[in-house]
Order: sequence, then structure tokens, then C-alpha cells
Amino acid sequence: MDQNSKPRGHLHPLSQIIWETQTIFKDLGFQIVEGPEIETEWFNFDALNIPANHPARAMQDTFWLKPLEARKLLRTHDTAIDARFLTDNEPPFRILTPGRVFRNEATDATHEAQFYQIGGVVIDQNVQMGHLKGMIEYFYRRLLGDKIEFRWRPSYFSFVEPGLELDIKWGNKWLEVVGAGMYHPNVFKACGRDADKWHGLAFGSAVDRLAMIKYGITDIRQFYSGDLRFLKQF
Amino acid sequence: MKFSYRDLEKYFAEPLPPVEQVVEAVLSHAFEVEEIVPVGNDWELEIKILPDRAPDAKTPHGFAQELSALLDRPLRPEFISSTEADNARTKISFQTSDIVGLIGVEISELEIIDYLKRLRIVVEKDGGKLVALIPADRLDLNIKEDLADEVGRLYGVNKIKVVSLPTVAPPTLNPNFELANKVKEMLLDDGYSEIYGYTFTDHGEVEVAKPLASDKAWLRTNLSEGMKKTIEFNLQNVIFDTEEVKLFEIGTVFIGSQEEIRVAVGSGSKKPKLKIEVTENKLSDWVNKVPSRPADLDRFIKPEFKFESFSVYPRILRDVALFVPDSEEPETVAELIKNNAGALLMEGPYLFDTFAKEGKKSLAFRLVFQSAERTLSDEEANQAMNQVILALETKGWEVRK
Repeated sequence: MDQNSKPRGHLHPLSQIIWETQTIFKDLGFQIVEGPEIETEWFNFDALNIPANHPARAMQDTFWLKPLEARKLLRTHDTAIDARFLTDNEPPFRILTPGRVFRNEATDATHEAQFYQIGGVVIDQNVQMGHLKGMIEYFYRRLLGDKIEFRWRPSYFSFVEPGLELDIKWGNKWLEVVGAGMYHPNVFKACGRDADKWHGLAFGSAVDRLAMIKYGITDIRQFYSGDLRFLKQF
Repeated sequence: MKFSYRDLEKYFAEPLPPVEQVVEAVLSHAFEVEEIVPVGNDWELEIKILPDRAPDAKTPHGFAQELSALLDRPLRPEFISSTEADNARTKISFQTSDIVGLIGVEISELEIIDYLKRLRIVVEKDGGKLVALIPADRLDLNIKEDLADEVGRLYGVNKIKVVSLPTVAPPTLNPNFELANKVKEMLLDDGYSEIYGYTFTDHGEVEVAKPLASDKAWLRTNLSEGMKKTIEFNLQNVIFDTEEVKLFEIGTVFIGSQEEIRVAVGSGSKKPKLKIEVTENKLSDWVNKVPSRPADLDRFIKPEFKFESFSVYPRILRDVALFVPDSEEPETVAELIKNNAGALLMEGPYLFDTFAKEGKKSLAFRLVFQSAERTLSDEEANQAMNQVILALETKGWEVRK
């Protein structure tokens, strides 16, 4: 062992994905925006057109905090950050919103109660689904290489209409990697913006899942283990 | 939802195309197909009906209606329902430009009307506007954006042409994110590795209403407690007791109604005596400690590689020390050891001690034995070491015992 040269530490794989992602989106003019991990029911659900009776709001999916009357929760998605930003800032803008999110679900190799999302939104006039597809495909090509194939499918998320999902071919399997769509007019209204004037190109991706795909990691819990046998490989 | 291909076929005027084509149409234009199970001359299709479509597409008849739109093939007359002004659930007023502006496909009014007709949506003209009459069972269709979704998916979301975003000015940096990255850069250069700890813990100031477990009912008030445990854990896995474990975390803690971003920096070692030290500050306290140039973590990004899972079974450490002639290179000796240690050698040999004596050189190596599948016995490690010793002695080198 060489005692003279001081070995460098290892950047956590999730930080690596977040860093690479922000580098790519910075080139597209996206600004990083963060938000609180404890969120209000309004920004996490209401402002995002998620109905009052939606199952995602239930105690078995969302970590509500005591006292329940305060209607505070641990944010379940980074889209809450977008709703805050849209409320406070006049478009046009392009933002990228990395952050820790929480879901009340039993943990196993592919599920964690805490994980990271990195999504974002472009709010502008004269932008449409072709731009949405374009920026997402650009991102995945730069992150995972030119050889990947894409398969877009229709999908449904309360806060977008139309809604889309993207599968990428990795090895010989199709993997679902991102949910996307055009902001629902109700989101603009809830955030005090003119739905007839603006379009919103929104997307969200799970950082943990991207890292698992990119590096071939099979157990999501390793990200939070602090185990150097894991971390030293990165 | 499970549907039988043959059962669906009964709703159609003519036979369905081959099952692969049906599946492809569903996947590209409507829903995920989770499974296709052949059953005799039939197939059972497991379709993930999107939640907003549950009211109309969950029954075989309803799904056949959807399939009829996707494949542009008519149902038998008795299964066709028509939408008219007096039985429409609602009316949506729209213009061609609303649809084109959202999906970005140059598509004519006629084509739009035709796509909607396949979905049993009748379009009437009202002056310069178009009015879509929505079938009673399509509870999900209420605004013009919903119509854009329908047209877009029937056209094919894969076919929508990819366009680059217009160029804009470079973004302003986010000061907090930037500061965190600068701190990371400094600590990484100083040999600290980054960890991500758990938010949930067994005590704190903010309580979760329905926790996953009683020891995860609170949100952490500090990073240090978790980090100390993580250092302790990692010290169990060091190869040499003098090795230092150096970690840092940047994360959110919850104090009263406040969230605070903290930086914890910790180190620990077993020898000369067991010590674990962690310091914790607010991220904002680091503002004056970091360089003013922009953060750059590029050199810490690992190029494309495949992660290798490591064994969870206990390892066995063994040392071997020997005298070799002064002219012998330690690398050559290490290579010989490695080649004779067998398949259970997981790590090493690590050279950890060397001194010269009377024209000879003493070398000491540590070897790590471990199996990916089971706990090793001492006997297996001994056998491997005997092979190593035999190989060294065959070379005429004196193994110190």
C-alpha cells in the first residue's frame, strides 16, 4: 500500500446520476430547484389535480405526519417542487427538481420507503409533445449511450394530459424509465397561471432506478446501507 | 384485467388479426400488456387498464370497443353503440389548432374527426368551432386536452416527431445545490466517501402517523447518530485494524417545524485504539470554507462499468510472512501466492509489512478468503494456505511460521 498518495473518496452512485443529469439538462437551459421534504397536501396533491379520493393520498401510500389535522406529509414525488415553483415564478422557465421522496411501502430489493426522483418541467408557449419527447430522448442518449432504443406509450398521471411513458431497451429487455406529459390545465389554474397561454412539458424519473439500470445493481437498499464494500466500487 | 382473445373476437364482425398484432396495437396506443398466456387455441391477455379508463374498458365488451378503435375494425352491429346529441354525456368544444398545438403533429381536421369517430365520438361543426359529443361511458373525457390525448395515441405517440427545444440562455446556478457539490468535492478530495442515510429513526421531533415499523416512526434530527453506526459497521469489514473509515453525508434533518440541510463528516479506526469521531454542521456554515470557483464533480464520476455484488458471508483473514532474496520483487511473490490460493481467495494478497535482514527481505501478506454462497470453514482456509506455503517453499523461500 502506498502511504504517500492520499486516496480520494467515492461519490455516492445516486449523487453521480444526479450530477450527470444536471450537467445534461444544464446544457438545455434547465435551472436546479429544490424544495422541502415535508410538504403540504396542497402542493403534493391538490395543486397537481390529484382527486381528494385518490388512493395515493391514503395512509397506506403516503407518510402523513402527526398531528393529522395539519395535513402535512413527506412529499411523495418531486412534482410538488414544480407546483411550488410555478406558483412563485412567472413562466417561461425550465427547471430540474432532484430530491428525496417517500412512499409508505414495505421494503424489498426493488422498493424503498425513501428514494430519489429527478424530474422537471419546461413551461413555455409554442412547445408541444415533440419537444417533450426530444428532450427526454436527448437526456437518455447522453446518460446511457447512443445504442439504446425507445418505446413511447400512452399513460395516465393526474397532473398531465396527454400522458406518456417511456420504455428503453437495455440489454434485451424493455424497462420503464420515465413518466411524462403535458401539464393539465388544472395545474396551471391551481398555481395561478393562465392555462390557455402556457404549455408545460413535464417528466419524472426515479434516480435509484436509473442507477440500478446503469450499473446493474439488483438491490435498491444498498444505496442507503453506507456499506463501503458497495460504495468503493463507484 | 384478463381478457380472452377468442372471447374478444366474438364482438367483431370479422376475425381478429394475429394475437401479436393485437398486443402491439394495445401496447402502442392504449395500455400495457403484462402477460400473454397461450391456452389451447386461445390466449389470455393480461391488460393493465389505465385508472381513468376503468369505467369504460374493464368489461370484455368495453375492451372490445377500445380494440375496435385501435385496430380500426368494426364490431358486430348488435355491439355498436352510437353517440348522438341527446345521449352524449358531455360536449367538448375545440379547434384543430388545440390538438395540433399540444401534440405537435400537423394533422387535418378530417383526420382528427376520423380518429375520434373510431372512439365513438361524434364531431359536429358549430360555426368556426368543433364540438365533440362524448359517449356516456367515457367518463375520462371532459376537456380539449383529453381529446388531444385520444388523437395523439391513435395517431401513435411513437410516431410523433422528436423536436429540439429552442435554445435559451444558460441557467443561473442554484446556490444551495452548488454549495453542497463544492462541499462534496472538498471532502472527496480529502478521502471521505459519501453515504446516504435513512430519514426514519426511532426518536425525534416529527412523528409519522403510520410508520413502517416502530423504530422508524420519527424523522431524524441529526445525521451523526446514523453515521456513527455506519462507521462501526464498516470497521467490521476493514482488512487491517489500522485502516481508517472516512465518510460524509449531506442530508436533511427535522427539528421542530424546521428542515435543515446538514453536513456530517466522520472517521473511525480500530487501532491504535478504537475511535469514532463525527462532526456535524449546517450546510450554510460551509459557505466560507469552499472555493469560489464552480463545483465540478466530473472527476468523481465512474465511467461505464458493471457493479459486482459482494458476498454477504463471513470472510476469513490469513497472513503469510516469508524471507526472499533481496533481488526478488514483492509483486512476483504476490502473483505466486495469488495463483496458488485457489478460488476462495476473494481479496489480496495485500503486502502489509516488509523489512531487510542479512541480505534477505521479509515480506508479510494478508489474504481474504470468502465464498459468495456459504460460510467457509477454517479447514478450507487452512487447505488453501497450505497450497500457498507449499508453492513458496518449492521456490526455496523460507516461510516464517
